[in-house]
Amino acid sequence: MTMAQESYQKLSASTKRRNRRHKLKSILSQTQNNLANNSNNIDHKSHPEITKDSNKNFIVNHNILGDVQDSLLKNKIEENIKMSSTDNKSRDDVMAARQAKKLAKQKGKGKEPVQNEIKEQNIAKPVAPKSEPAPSTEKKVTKEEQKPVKELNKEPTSKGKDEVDRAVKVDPIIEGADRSKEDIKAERAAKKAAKQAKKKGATEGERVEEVKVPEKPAVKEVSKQVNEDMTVKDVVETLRDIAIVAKEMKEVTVKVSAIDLSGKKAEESNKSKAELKAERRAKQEAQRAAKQAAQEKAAAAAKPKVEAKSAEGDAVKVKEDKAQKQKTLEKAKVKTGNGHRVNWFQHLYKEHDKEALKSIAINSNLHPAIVKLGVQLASKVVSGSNARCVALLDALKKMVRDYTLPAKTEFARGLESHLATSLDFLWAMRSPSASQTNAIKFFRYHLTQLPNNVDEFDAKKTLQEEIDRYIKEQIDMAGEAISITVRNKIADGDNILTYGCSSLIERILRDAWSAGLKFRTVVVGNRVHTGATDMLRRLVAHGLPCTYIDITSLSSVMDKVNKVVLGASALLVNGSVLGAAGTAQVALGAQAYNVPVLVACETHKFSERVQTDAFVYNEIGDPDDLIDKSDENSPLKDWRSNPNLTPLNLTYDVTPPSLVTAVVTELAILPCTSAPVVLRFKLSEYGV
Amino acid sequence: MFLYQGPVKELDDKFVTLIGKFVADIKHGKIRGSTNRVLAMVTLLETIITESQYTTAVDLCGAIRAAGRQVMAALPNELVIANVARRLLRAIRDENRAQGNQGIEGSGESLQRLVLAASARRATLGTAQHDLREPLRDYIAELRGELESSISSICGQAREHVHGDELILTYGASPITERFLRAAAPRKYKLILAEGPDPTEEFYSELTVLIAEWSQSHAMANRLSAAGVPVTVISAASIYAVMSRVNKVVISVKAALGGGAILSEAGVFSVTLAARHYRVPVLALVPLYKLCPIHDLTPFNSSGSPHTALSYDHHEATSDNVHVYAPLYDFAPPDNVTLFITNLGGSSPSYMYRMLSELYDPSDYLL
Repeated sequence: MTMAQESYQKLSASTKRRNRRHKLKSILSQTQNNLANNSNNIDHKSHPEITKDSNKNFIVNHNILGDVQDSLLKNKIEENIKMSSTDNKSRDDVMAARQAKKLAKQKGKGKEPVQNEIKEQNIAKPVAPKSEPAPSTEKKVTKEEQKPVKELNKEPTSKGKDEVDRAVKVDPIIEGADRSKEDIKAERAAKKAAKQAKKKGATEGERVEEVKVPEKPAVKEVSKQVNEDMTVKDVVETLRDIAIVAKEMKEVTVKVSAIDLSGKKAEESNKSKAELKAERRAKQEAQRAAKQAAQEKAAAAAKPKVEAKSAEGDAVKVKEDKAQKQKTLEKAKVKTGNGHRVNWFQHLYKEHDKEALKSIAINSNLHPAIVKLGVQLASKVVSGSNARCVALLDALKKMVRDYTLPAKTEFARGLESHLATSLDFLWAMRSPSASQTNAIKFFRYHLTQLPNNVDEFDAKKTLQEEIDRYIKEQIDMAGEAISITVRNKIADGDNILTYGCSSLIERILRDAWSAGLKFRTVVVGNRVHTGATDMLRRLVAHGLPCTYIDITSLSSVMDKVNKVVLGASALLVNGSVLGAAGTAQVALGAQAYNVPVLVACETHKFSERVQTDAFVYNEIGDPDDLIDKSDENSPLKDWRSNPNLTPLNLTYDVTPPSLVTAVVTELAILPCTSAPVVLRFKLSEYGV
Repeated sequence: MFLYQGPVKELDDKFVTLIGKFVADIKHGKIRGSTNRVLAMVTLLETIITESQYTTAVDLCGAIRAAGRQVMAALPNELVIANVARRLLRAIRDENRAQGNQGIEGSGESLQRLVLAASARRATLGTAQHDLREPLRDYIAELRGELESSISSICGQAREHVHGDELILTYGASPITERFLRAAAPRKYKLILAEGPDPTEEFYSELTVLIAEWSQSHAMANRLSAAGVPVTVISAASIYAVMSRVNKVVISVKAALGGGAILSEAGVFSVTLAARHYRVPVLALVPLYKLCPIHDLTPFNSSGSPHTALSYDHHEATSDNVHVYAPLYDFAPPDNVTLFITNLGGSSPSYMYRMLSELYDPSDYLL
């Protein structure tokens, strides 16, 4: 035929003995070469013949590509089916899997004559009813096996082999699907037994393994025979033999299932030697029969091929086993997953961040900036109340800028729905901080304030300006105001203690240092959350003299500290301060030593939520953070397999108002309990 | 610091060598764990008593006091070791009194006696000349038995204090808490283990390898969970956050002070403070040999290696502008402790002074 096909045939001839994966790879590379040729050829448009040729090439390539994709797809589906069938799932599942497989098959044969498709359906249908007596089912199976052979007779193209492979692979699955649960169990038991036998001795194992795929070599043989001009009658005979072998196999499996049903899965590995022996003997007999059936028809030359194929089959089986193992592992994980949740924090657990990252819809309507922010939030690249707020507003600004209004939609409504989906995504990545909630409230407020018949351009401009204004007024200028206020409270020679990392505190201290105040900063950190070391680095880079201690050493320095300045994630309406885990402990320590505690918090972080302890709302951090990364043999590294061991990594804690001397806001220095007043004031002033 | 400034009896060279070896063993981490150290000290003093020629109360007291002073001077952090010397001194006095039949005077706690105490300690011993070595040897055997059984008798009380479905918080790792909690395991309680800094004070000489900190807490969590106790591991920063749910806090101490305060690993102040804030009972596990006749520890602490607080990976740790502190001990005032669990049963912090006077003679508080 065409050049490409010739080359492919050559190729396939040379790779016959290789296993399937290598084949696929080479096909792919071949395809790529061809594609490259195509593009080259297309460049030379002055040669019409070449162009024509290349067009043909292209079509063939497409076919090959299709095949490759088919087989890949098929592999996947097969895996799924196997998993579901071995999983002892309900019948519906099995049915669904078969349906999917059928679809995939049809898809794969889309380019082939319609005739084939119809035939396939005819074959597939009679298989569907489940409660059929065994022999009839097997007949159907043989029928199906017949099909690819016929196809091959019709067009022995390069595709033929693929087709056969598929048929061979598909058959056991169909059988598996048709079988009852017990049968499936039995099959698994047989597999397991085979595995054990394999371990016992290499020679024995080989034989047993061959038994595992008795139909395969036979069918392969058939395909070979077809290539050598075999008569239809021979084919039918071969298939009958296969049917007999299959029957024998079934008997074996029934035997095994009888053994299996008496005990449970665990017993499979504890089978007595005698039972194992009996099984093996039965299998060997079956295998001998299969071999005979094959040998009767097959030429002696084809024999090595059989072995090669069976080896190939073994590889597949091994893969299957692996898949099964993985599945069981997953199951175990799921089971322990619930055990590792601290009971009183049950309501706070959600799917772990890493899982959330996987579920990002790539082709969704989300703005790239939103997606990026989502990833940054989930991976904690953007952390800290202010940073998260600014990043959110920035992403919103980009979203507004690039938003195109669908026809016949009011701007505010259209953007609102778009905003809602974006926020759903973002909050799924990480639940919003108070600052973010307030920023969104503000944005929504201005969205609703837009006149109905507003021009799209004007609306965008207004919103972007409002966002800029919010960042400037609520975050930047507020920070400056707070910085000035706190600076007035710092005296020369003071020791100022701070906990964790806060952009606002950093700014306050830097400004105060720049203003010429001479003080020492005590940065308190903890081992799990490394924010404090970042804070320390930034302060040191700015030339501030610093002292670093761990939170456990608090009492050793507290008697020398003059003021404690803390950042906050949110100020709740009941006056509690939601801060990084450990904040409350520092405040408590300060109170014990009668050191004033100032909490610096812009009013945009004031929240209308109320909370009395850290249980109502919190975020469960990555438990692995607790484990010492530098230690290879950390005693906690196996916590997932130990249901009694649960690392708990809390993100926030709540400092009661009694422990806080005052809150420094851009409005004034206030007692904590004035939070509702501030919120009411803001409502009247800004509408949010 | 806590040493009596009076004249010291000269010890034989062989005893000085023995003391030097004992001190070196502790410094090099060859003797680990307070119980083992105390027992080693008992052995040391026993050797001095048996091998010396001293027989009278005055001579024996002088020798033991001298040995105790030398050890204390070499190991100022080991408050507990000197207690052995105090116990023996008390025994010598008692024996002397019993032999001389002058026991009516009481054990010296009456106010009158305290006020009108003899100016010299020597005077309290009287002038009787008895050979006290034999009864002392018996006493030492008794003392050794008491020291060896003290932890197990504390752990025997575990089931009185821990009950089913309780949430117990413990801080850091120590063998005694681990045994206590293990003994309570049949109670089906739940444990929160807050990882302490685990000051590796037992290993901090250059000769021994520094064990990664925190790993001790983690190892203890691992072992307890293997023993069937559901363990939740939290960081030291989350203690306040979970304290509201906790039923009891169990901590071990490095030393219990006369006034009812405790000296323990760094961070115990925060833990007990949080517990007190939420009115959660704090149980301190104190074998009586850890009870020291000291009342104020303000100037007392020692620093661990700063890299335990801030690893040298952070380059700012090496900046001249940065001081990094990692104190080893923490001091929790008596108000923060609800109950001392000693090998003689539970007692409140305010009663510890009485225990003190039962264990030691007031004139030996300063060695």
